Amino acid sequence: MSSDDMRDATTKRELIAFRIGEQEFCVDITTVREIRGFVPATPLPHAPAYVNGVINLRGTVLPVIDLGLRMGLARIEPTARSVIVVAKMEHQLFGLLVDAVSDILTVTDEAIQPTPNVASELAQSFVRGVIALEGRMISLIAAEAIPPRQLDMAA
Amino acid sequence: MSAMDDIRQTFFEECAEQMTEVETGLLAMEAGAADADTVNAVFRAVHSIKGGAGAFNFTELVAFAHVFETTLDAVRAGRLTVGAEQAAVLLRAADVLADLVAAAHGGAGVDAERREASSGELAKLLGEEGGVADAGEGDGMEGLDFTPVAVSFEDLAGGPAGAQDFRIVFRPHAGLYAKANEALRLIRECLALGEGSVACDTGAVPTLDALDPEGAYLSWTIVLSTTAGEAAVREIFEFVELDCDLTIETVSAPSTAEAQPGGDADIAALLARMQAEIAQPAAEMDATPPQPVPPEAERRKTTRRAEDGVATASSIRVELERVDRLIDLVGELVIHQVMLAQRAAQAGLAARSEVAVGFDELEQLTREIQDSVMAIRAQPVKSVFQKLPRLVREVAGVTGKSVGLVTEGEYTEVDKTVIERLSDPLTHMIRNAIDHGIETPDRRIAAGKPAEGTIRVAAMHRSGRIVIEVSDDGAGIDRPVVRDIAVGKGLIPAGAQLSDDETDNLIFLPGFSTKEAVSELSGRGVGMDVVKRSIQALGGRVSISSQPGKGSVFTMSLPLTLAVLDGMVVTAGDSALVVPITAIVETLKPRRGDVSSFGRDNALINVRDSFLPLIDVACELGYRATPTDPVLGVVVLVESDNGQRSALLFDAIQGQRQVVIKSLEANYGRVPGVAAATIMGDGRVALILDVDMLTAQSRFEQIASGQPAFNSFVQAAE
Repeated sequence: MSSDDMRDATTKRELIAFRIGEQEFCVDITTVREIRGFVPATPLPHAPAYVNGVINLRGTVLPVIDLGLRMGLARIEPTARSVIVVAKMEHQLFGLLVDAVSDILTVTDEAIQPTPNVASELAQSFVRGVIALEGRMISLIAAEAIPPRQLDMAA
Repeated sequence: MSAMDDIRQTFFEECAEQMTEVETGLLAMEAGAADADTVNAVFRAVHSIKGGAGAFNFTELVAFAHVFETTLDAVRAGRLTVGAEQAAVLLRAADVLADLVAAAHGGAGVDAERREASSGELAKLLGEEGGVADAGEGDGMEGLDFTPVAVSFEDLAGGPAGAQDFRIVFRPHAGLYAKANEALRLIRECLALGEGSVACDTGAVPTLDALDPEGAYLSWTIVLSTTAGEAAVREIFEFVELDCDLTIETVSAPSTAEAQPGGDADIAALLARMQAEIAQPAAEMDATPPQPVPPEAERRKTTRRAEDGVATASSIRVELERVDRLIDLVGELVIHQVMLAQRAAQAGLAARSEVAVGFDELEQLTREIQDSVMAIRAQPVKSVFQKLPRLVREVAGVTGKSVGLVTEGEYTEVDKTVIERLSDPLTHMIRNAIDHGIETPDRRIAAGKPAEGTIRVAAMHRSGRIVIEVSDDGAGIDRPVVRDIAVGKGLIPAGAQLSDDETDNLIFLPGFSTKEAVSELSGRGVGMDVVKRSIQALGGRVSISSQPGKGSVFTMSLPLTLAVLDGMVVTAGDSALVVPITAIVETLKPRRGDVSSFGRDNALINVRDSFLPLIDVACELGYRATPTDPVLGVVVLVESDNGQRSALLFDAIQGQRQVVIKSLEANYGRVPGVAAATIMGDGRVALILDVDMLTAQSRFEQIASGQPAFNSFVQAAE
């Protein structure tokens, strides 16, 4: 269930697009469990700066990651439009704090262009391709790259 | 294949239950308290295991279960009297059987030698029995010749060539159906072996008003022509043999013609009779005299079945996951109910308004639901205690000591999560008690004690916790020796003044092991310190008291559940935190003169003239960069599991509350100083502090550097 990008070129896939600052990103819809409004998180001691804290998702303790900070962009200042995208990797649930969710895109794999060769951490670690859509540029991120490795180890 | 796996899983679950039954029954037999029902129960249990194992092709298990069953059958028939010696053989056989089940489940293989030894012992018992039977009555005992039944399946497949004709008369008892066997399936299997015909005898079917819907009234005559041989035919009925009358005879010529028409005619007659019955007006039915009393044997069977029915209906098997989900949801319900009530109050509803009264009732209801759901997970400790007799037998066997076990309070209930983790420390404590506590028989006799030592394991509820005591009537702790070892290993200074109690508890220190040579049993590289740690990990405590010459008592006390915790809710910075009540010694409001700086950035607090390290929790957890003025805060005095006290400084205390424990590790990972999380009444997550780690960590960091090792997390992540 990883958003692996090695599939048949004609397969259509659905992506959820969201905004962080001025940039647009998307993740494979199959990794997304739900989208919920922003609630303040309980900070976790000794956590990396991009870990916003934990929130209560119907009885489950859900870590929330500031996706902006995680990808080396600016910290997300929560507004009324901020949302938490709840993603699931293997058995682990985590929330991604983003500025706003914009779209659900249906694209073929052909429409996903390889990541331009730029020497940024963002491109190297998280982006798996870019999509051109109505003059916008949307970067496809690999959800599995988002939680820090120790999360996986502990899970 | 998953359906098959499910069935396998069910088989093993049932095996576990059957083994429990076997063990309980055998122990009763050993104690001489067994009646016919007990023996039957044991027999049935072994028989069921054999039956199930056969279906899954666990040949070893089947073979052994068969030998075991055969011996039990002799006991059941009264041909074999069970004394202490025989009971020991049977108990050992039960152990082997349990191992074989475990092996079939994918556990370690079974020592073939042990299996053979046990088989041999059982056979020997049977041998004795055979002699008795020959001398005594001869009522069809010869028919119970067991050797041919222990068939290997390979032999059966390639039976004698050439078609033979059999006439099989098959009359199931009600018990056959009650055990979920199906006559039709068996008949079909028969027919699958070759060609043949079936005739049904409906002569025994009573009138409708006397008909027991769960009774067995039909019998079948199967005329079968097959090349498979008699053994193959018998195999079909192997697992129902005891629940039916079965005769299988070889006939010279197929007698199809005679059987076939009879069947149809009989059924037609029966249908006609039934229809006539139904057509009778109800009034007439009422007027019919009460049905004749069934014969004694028949009636007994009926009652038994009724009881069985009740027993099965009174409990169901549920996946733990579902119960956990329910507990989560009820937890949510409680939270939402609190939130709603708060909002209603904020909206200005009067306390006596109907809505507010409704909320009160809702609150009571939700609490009750929560209690009931928690009760679902509660289980008697019996399941753990049941494994103990075997353990005691084995350990006693290895050490050459004679030990009896007494258990008390096995119906004391405790949460399943606690039960699961109770077994290891308990096992270790009992091993220790037998290995180190109980003396050898000759030494016991010399000391004027009975040769057999006694281990007593008792469970009880005490002030919201479960207390388990393991006591022995052995030699007690040899305090001078314990003291010397502790001094020798540098655990205590040579001149230390210790009370008897303190000396006894030295055995829990890491690095302490009284036996010079690590013994095969209690040794295993772990000492009592491991026991202590695993109990503490459950939020429990363990202590020992001992009387020289009279024995020792280990007492462990555990929380009833790992799902909820009594905690004190405090605030540090902007966050609410929960401190487990069990760790708290006292709370106090520091005065200006109580706190003094110590070293570079440590502080000590004077509590009745003893100085304790003062930890500003908000700073420690990184919620705040600079410490607050202690005078503005509240100090909670905690005792960590190694008995060291520390003072934790918080901003305020909110109150005491029972909280539902939520895992932080499931989706995130371990956080230093935090044990788990919980969800507060306002729906926010609050962290539950791990007092031990928090205090130890603070101490370590202060030693290591002024800069807290802020984040091992980041280091590992990047």
